[in-house]
Amino acid sequence: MNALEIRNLSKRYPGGEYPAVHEVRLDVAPGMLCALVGESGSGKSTLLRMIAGLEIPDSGSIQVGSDMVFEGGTFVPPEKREVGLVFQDAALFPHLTVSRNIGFGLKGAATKDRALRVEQLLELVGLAGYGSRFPGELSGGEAQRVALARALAPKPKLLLLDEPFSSLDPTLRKRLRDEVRQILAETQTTAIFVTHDTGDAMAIGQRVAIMRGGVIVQVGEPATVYRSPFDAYCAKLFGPINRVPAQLMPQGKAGATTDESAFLWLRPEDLEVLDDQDEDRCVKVDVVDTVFQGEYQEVTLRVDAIHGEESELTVRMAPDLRVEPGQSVWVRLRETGG
Amino acid sequence: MRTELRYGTSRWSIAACVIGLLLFLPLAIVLTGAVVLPAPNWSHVLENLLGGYAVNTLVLVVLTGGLTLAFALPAAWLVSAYRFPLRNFFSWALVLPLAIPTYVAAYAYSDLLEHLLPIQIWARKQIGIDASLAADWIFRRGILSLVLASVLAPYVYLSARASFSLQARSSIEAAQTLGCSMRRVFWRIALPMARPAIAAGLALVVMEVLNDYGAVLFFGVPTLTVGVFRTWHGLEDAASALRIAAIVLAVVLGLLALERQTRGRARFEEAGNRYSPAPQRQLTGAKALLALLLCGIPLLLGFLVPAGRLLLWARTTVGKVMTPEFLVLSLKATGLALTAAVLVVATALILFYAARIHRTLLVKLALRLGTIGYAVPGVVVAVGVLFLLGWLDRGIGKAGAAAGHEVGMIFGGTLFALGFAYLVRFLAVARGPIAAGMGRLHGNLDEASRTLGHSPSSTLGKVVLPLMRGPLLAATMLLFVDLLKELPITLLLRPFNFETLATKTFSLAQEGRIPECAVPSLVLILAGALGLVFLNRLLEKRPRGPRAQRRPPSSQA
Repeated sequence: MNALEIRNLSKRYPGGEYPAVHEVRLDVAPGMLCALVGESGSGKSTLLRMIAGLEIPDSGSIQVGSDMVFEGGTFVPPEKREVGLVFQDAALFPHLTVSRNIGFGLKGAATKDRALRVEQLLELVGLAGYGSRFPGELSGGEAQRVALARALAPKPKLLLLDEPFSSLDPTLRKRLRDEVRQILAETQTTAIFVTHDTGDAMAIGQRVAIMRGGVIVQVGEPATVYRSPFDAYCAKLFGPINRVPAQLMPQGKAGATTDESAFLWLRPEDLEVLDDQDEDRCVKVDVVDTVFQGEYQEVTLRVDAIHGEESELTVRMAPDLRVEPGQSVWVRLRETGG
Repeated sequence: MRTELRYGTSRWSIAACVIGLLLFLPLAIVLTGAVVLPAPNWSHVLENLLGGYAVNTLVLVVLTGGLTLAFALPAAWLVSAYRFPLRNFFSWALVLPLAIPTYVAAYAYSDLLEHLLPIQIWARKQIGIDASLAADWIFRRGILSLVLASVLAPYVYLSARASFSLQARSSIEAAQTLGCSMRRVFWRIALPMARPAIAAGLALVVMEVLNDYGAVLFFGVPTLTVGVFRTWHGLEDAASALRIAAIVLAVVLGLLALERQTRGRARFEEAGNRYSPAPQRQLTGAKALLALLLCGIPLLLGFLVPAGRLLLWARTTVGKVMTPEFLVLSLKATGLALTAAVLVVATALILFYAARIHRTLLVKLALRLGTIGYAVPGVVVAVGVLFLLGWLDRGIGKAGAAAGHEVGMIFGGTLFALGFAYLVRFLAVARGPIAAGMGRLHGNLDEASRTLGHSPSSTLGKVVLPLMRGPLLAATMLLFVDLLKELPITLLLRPFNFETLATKTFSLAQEGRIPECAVPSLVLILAGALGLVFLNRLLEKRPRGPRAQRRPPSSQA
């Protein structure tokens, strides 16, 4: 049984021209960490809020574990769903200490058990000793850790994270992202992590679901969605990609061409730059521009008309290789393992 | 992006709808009763009285409105655009007249008419009795308007000042760099831009004039409000009273719709959200003197003179008035106002919290119905409540008689009736503070609480209320002050022999014992000043994000 099963879920906001979420189907296996990625306005937050019970869907069904929380006339209010939510802005209760924030969802527990659980969680998120502070005294990263601990405290069946790091600086964001992944694995929490950052999505998600215009267009493992994107949109979402006009060749007949044309989609790392034409299967290109990026330099190349269409390629080169605009170099497809 | 949580929380919707409907019921009764019920004396009222009431009301509204503009606009413009001696003092002191209830101001200026008597006598000798009567007619209305305008001017002053100083930073400076003189800036830019704000302030002035009973009665200028009282008590024709009330109500609702159409924003919210830097242009010499005059006269007429005269009278009568009975009366009145204020705030909280978690059309409608009463003169509300509770009492009485019991009045003439009428009329006063407080509360906090297993009620108790303590206290204080000085509703609905500070002041003044009413008047003014302090604190607080909601470090481990 899946930890979450969504079927044909749709929602249109009053006055909205298009549905915010349209006929979505999504399964999340127990213990799985699923990243939900999409541009702002793609409906990912709406989907998340419907799972939490903060928005009411127009149609479809949501099942959390064995409980149907939304279907037709059934609507289980958020407080009865056992679905945790970590908000983008942490949303800590400013009038309660860190400890009491974390203990907020432990309603039935005895005082002693509650204190114990809070200590455990503080330890887990690396904030032992922070219990008596108030949210106003925490940094952004600390606040998000407390928010995570607070959401984990009642041991939710499903944890939702709504862009929890988007307000943090890149370094902290990366560190926290890895920590969160470890914590969720350690506590064996099933989670959905919403982000617009594809880097975050690939780094944290065991599965990545791509949303666009209220529809989930592709679900798969990070490597799959990166290497075998569903369409050009998904391909571009996950990083720069080159579109090269090509012509189909009948298999096994070298040199023969057909009239069928197509496009070749190549990631920058699929291409290798040579300063010499020492092999065949190389194409001579002109360097148009170079941009230094630290770990690599991004080089824009102009390919002389292949089959009558001029195109540009973006490749990544080691930063210490010297290339100048105007210079000619050769590129070829990188040999891949498979 | 927050929307309603329809299911599972419908209790809040239902509560909101019940409250909204209950609070609108008296007004609905006024409107329907006026049409349905036969009114035996209506033709008499229509032919002999209504015209006079209507003319008086219209004259007062127009004169008072015009005079408030004359008092408030120059002062507001000067304070927001220029520097001059005492500018900072005037900036806040010009709000002080609001602390004086209209009827108290009327008592403080009670002898003004007498000073004009020689002119009347002269007119009578020179021209004749008609001229003397005409002079009297004009003097009464003119002076009453002056008195009303001097204490009501702050409504226009506040909204105009907010608008002017908001523009001062952008449009006005831009216009000046384009070579516009300050005079042109005022007429061509500042005034047109401030028009909606000024209109909102004026609307409040008009509502206060319509609501007033004490001052108009004292000056002998019977308005429609007085008309309702007189037909009710004097003619004992409740249905005719209802019809006059319905006319007033229809006019008010019409104005309300008009105002809503021209601007949707609440009156004080605009003033609240910003601090304005002090203006840079300095006035000197004759111009500074003129500025001092234009700011000083409204303050003098609206606060210093009436408060000073009352103080002088109070010195001579304080021994006579300060009896144990008076102290008991003060305590009782304070207790009533405070209890009613808490009741109103609690009811408002239910309504506004329901509106926060349910953004449905139904709840919005309930909210609107529940807050209409603030625009409606107290006497109209009171008449509606009297009718409603009268019907209830008679119904229960009949049922009791059928069962063989003698049942007296259960609702009518009780504190319950008074409390209910206060709710209808004053619920909207709590709106400003509560809405501002809830606006400062980040919506995610409620949602976080819900996803952590707490119901809406539990969320209200554990998250919303603790974070709203300040705004709720402010709302309670504002209401306390409004209720303490409330006159027409209290006069009509109070239990037999029950006196508040307002009714005591009123009855002493009506008996001509003006110097004696100075003491309770001063108590009311003090309370009003206290309310202004809270209002000011409310206006100065800015909305804060969740991250900015800091709390001082606590010593608890």
